[in-house]
Amino acid sequence: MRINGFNPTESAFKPFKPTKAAIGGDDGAATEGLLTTFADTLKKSIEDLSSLEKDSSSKTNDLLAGRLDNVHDLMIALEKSKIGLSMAIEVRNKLIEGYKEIMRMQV
Amino acid sequence: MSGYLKSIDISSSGLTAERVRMDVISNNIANANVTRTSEEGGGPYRRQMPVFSVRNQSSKYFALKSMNDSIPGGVSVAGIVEDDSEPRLVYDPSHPDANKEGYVAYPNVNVVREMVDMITCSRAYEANVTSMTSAKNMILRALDIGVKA
Repeated sequence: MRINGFNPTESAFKPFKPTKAAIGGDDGAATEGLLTTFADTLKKSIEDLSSLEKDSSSKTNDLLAGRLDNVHDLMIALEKSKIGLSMAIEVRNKLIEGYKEIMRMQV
Repeated sequence: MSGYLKSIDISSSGLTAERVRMDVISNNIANANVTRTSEEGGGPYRRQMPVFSVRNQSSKYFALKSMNDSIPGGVSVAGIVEDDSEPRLVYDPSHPDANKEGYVAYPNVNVVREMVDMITCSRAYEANVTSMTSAKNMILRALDIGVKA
């Protein structure tokens, strides 16, 4: 019996490039945005997180200054930044786990 | 905006809309006996109603095959309109705003109806909070995937 060995192809190490058919879009600009490297994605999600945090702190200031109309806006902003942070922590945990796994490897 | 928080944004728009409705209802109740809308008269206050509309968002949603399907992006308040029904006439000749026949035009606000609307409104608000909590729990559940217990 012939077992196909592990054969890493070059494409596995290239940035992920979803085809238009895969995401079903005919929107050129939307597809462009997806052609990013892992580092770019990470950077963007950290920026997203930071904007969520900024939003929640500015809403807190607005509430304390009496400028906020809807209390739920503040609670939602807080909740969003909380979820975003948990998400980021989870991603970090996964990365560190992978790093540790590689460091434990016997050469 | 990050896609995974979209359901929260949708519920948030619902909460804002219900808050607007609550404000309008409170205003109707507060003005239920107002006979002049300006210093010079101007007739009785007229009952107001908020009008909601669907807020469409043509955003990229990977779960959908066709990009032509627009994703409902929640609700928005299209405007606040006045109820054109007839004012309530009460016979009270001593009232300064009484007409020649002695009738005073009171607003077309039925307080009982406003109370019923208020209950609907607060329940709708609760429903939006519940759906938001549920969406939040779904996201947090997803973060538990692969975590060693």
